[in-house]
Amino acid sequence: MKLEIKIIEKQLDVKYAGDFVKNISSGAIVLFEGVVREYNNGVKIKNIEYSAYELMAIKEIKKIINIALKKIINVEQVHAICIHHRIGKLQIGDTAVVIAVATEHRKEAFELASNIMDLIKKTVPIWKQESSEESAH
Amino acid sequence: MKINILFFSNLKQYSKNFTLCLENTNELTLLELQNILVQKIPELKNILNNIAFAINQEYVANSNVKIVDHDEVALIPPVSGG
Repeated sequence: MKLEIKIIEKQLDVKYAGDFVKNISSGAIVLFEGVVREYNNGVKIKNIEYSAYELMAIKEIKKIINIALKKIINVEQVHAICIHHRIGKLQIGDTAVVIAVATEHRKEAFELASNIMDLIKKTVPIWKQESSEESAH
Repeated sequence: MKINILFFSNLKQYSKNFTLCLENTNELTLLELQNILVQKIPELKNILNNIAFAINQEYVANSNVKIVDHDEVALIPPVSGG
């Protein structure tokens, strides 16, 4: 299985992630993009600063992928996964995370992308600190 | 022995990363280290229950686990990636 995991300080290249996983054996590509939205719980966001314990974050993401793969019955039909997470100061509309998964059929790709994202939020040592319009005043 | 202590996110307000040097000691448990850290940084006492610990980039669930010379110990506040 082709795999790429990166913690990146520059703007994420979503197309790159899709191209990375694309191959002639995969009939399905699911591309998830997590984006900084304007409001969080009714509070207008100014920006979000992401930080990471990079070395451990990469290790944890690898573990998460293995956990998510164990739930897939036809694991040999998973061909490629690309996960990029942004760090640094992000503005509204910026992409914080990209998960691209290529599989033989669509079911596994949807399932993997969703499970991986859920697990990232639970254990990977990455943190966001929001600045709101209110706190800026 | 020397242990590298790392702080992340909001925990950085309490301390910068530092190297803890302990004379005449070859190993200590995570619990012992936590007690040392609370002595050095009293603000940690009330929030210790919300901090996970990692030794050499692996989460540690058991506070009896041993820490040895040159280990890297990270204090991990609740994560919020994605």
